[in-house]
Amino acid sequence: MKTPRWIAFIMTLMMVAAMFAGCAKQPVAETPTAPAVEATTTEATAVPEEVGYTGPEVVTLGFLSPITGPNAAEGAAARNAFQMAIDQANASGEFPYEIKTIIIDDQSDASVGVAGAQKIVADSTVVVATGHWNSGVAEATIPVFKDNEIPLLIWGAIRQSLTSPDNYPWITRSAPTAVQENEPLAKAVLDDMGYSKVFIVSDVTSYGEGNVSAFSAELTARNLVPMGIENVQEGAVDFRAIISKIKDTGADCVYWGGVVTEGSILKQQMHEEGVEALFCGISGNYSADFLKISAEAAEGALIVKPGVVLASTEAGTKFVDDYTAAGFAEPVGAYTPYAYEAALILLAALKTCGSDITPETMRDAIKDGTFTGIMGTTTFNEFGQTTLVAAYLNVVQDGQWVVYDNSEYVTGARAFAGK
Amino acid sequence: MEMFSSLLVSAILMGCTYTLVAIGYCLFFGVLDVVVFCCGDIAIFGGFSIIGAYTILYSAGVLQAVPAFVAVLIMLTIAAILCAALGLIAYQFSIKPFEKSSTLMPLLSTIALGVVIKEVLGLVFQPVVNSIAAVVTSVDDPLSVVGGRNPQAMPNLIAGSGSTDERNLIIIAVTLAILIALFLFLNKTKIGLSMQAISQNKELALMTGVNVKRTITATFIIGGILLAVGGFLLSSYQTIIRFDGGAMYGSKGFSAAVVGGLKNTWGAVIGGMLLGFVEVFTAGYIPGGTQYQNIIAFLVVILFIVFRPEGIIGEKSIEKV
Amino acid sequence: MSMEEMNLLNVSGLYTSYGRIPMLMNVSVELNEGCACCVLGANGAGKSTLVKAILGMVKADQGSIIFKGQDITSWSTYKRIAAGIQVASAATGTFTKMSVETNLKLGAYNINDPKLLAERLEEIYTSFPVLKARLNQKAGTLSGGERTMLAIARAVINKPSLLIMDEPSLGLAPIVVDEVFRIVRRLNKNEKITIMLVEQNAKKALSVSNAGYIIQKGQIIFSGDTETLKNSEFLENPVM
Repeated sequence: MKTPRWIAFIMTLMMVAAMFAGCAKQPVAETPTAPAVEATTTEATAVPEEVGYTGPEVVTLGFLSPITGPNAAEGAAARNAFQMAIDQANASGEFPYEIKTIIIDDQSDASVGVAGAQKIVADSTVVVATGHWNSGVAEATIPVFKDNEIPLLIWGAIRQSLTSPDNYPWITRSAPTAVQENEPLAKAVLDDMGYSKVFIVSDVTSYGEGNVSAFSAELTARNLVPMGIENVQEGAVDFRAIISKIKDTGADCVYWGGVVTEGSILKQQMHEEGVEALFCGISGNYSADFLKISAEAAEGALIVKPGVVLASTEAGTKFVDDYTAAGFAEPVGAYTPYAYEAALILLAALKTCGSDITPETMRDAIKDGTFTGIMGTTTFNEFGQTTLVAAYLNVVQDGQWVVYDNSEYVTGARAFAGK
Repeated sequence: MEMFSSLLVSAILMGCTYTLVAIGYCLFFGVLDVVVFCCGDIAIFGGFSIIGAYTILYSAGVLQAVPAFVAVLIMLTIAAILCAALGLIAYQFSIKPFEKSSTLMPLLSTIALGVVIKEVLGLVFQPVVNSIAAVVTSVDDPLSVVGGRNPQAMPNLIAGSGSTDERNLIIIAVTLAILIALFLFLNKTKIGLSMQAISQNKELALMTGVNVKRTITATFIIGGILLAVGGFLLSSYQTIIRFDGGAMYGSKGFSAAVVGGLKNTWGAVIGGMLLGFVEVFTAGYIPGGTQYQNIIAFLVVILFIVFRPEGIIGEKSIEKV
Repeated sequence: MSMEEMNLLNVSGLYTSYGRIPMLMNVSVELNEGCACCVLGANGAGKSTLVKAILGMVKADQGSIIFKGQDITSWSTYKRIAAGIQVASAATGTFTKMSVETNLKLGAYNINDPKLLAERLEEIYTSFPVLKARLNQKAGTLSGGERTMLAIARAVINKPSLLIMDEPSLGLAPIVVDEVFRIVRRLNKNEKITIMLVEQNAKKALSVSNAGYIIQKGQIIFSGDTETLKNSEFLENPVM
């Protein structure tokens, strides 16, 4: 039996495929339609005449989010929160001019987003824009804003590369990137809980690699060395060899840098093989699906999630109450507070500018400003990324995600593995 | 030493699961001279069939009424029947129409069929199971079915409440039993001999009076059953099953079959074990090796193709006079 | 005896093609029960195609094949074999990776009665003692002569009504060729098996046959009894 030559060809293809299997995959909008830009302008509200004011009578803010399409729930709720903040500002009488908005539905589609961005920059009253839940759409519109010198504050897209020296100072971002979540996680696990023998497992996506380097840096900063670093291919189902290794190194903590699918399998198999170690990771694993693989095996997984527990602060509670009172169809989503926070930042920047409101003054007001909103105090670093990483820990307890601070792990009724 | 022994167990178990799908490739290639590329997806389909059967039987109260091993046998039978049917569908719709075309055509069409199986599992299967799952969870069932296109938890059917060691032993024992049964089937039954005859010399098999159509049909049924068991063991070992796991599982099985010589069923066993060992020990002993375990496994296969194209225990082909 | 009873195989006006290339053109062959008939022709003349057409492995474009009074033109191969046609072919020969015994058992594909099978095997061992000694050996390890014996035995075990021998002398030493033709004669004379002998070796073939055909470029160019053939000019043809 001779093996035909084409089989060799197939095998080579498979090997190449295996090599590239880990290349980052970004969600692509599945419903590309003709650019249907929805633009609404708010009704003028009573603007108080201020004596001595010489600035413009109308200031327009651009806003972009996926109001329809695959991410409509997040996008529409964000639009609601943003518009609510602007309406509140207009009603407050604190601004001697009318604040209008141009709302763009980018449909999670890059081409629709670019068309919307062009509509925003074409309006001469626009001084600043905030936008995007999808990183892919943000990447496409950033050149439009840069070329037309309109500052863009990104409120919800979290791909690391969006804020960079190249894009600074026109592009800033008030949402923490995924990688930034490693900082509060490391603080909790390494400093507060005292774990030191960390084994890092991740996947070969750019998400996973970003997390590995971020968490490794946190370890290095504490003079710790990981017990091992293993990257699996996307789609991995068998972690037995890695688990043998984890046991062999005697690690007391397993940091998982990938997302929920492989993460839940790893946790399940760790449980089955009786690994005595804490399982921790960042928000990519915070999902109901993580619980369903096996409620029993998921117990004790520690996952950090961006944002704040809104009910825990006065400003947060007020935001939720206002939002509920407004009677929006879409409930508050994970990034709804971020859209509200972005609106608050823009409004504060408008105040800083006084009567000299141009895209340039707005740009400088944002990048140099210090803003206090519902999530905490925001400042921007040397390339426009927020330094505020509001995040809180969650733990799986009896098959449910429970805020760590409210869980039995805090009270001491339960203990994490590896302790 | 503890690490070595646990890796050894992992390697043998991976080898077992690879072996079954590799034999599937061998049987199909034997009678058709065609690589049926959706073997992995058929096996995954088998695993899902078991989850489906489990959910339905549980909500019907059948599972609770019979002894555990009877229940497992019932579910395996259902999965085997479904996989055999799927095997026949694969033959009828993506291989037979291309009988007279180049061998690449059925290869491509079975790859396409694999994608169809995968997507159907990902899309259609999930809501069906979820609607039944509501019933199941209400009776405090250990299995909760996962929504979306994420992995499904595999019920612990092998060695129900027993330890993982017990489960691993059973997986190995079942694989061995299947290999023995297959050996007897291939050498002692008429249909098994016909399959071998077609595999070795199709023209002579025809001249001998072998009913080729019936043999091919039988092969797809047998292959389907093997793949169903393969999918069952694989998902039991991994404790979960992914709807998109078929492509990788299939590639590994195919690689094992190539190492074994494609027509050589017993070579496939060695090929499967070799692949399992290379993979697990690469991941286990090379720091950061997990990332490269698939690449190294495929590299071994390519080396085989280059230096031993007839397979690991294949004989040099005897030129016809 | 009437003509119908006498006539075992009747191929008439057969056309076959390979793709668009015509292979056989208007070939007619008649075989009477009990006869030994040879089909002679050079390499590529169409002998093997004729064998395959009779077996149903090559589709007939035109013409008919009647076997034992039944029109088998559209039958599939296994049905024709079950009806009593067997081939012993030097080219396709044996299942080289299987033991001699397995080869024989596979040969007896249509014998389902284990007792009958055992009987037949005994008969084969008696008439082919060389095989009995090598029962557990793989067919691929046999010598050329032994393999030809096995190919014949594999066909004969079924006691076929028609035995087609496809170049049995191919690649064998002269002394073995003699042995093979002795067997052919014995099968025909003693076992009363009708034989269609497809050969390049005209002299040997004619020595055991009572009628013959000459095939050239896909057409029968001569047919007649052995005596006529022996004296015919066609055998002088350098191609033969």
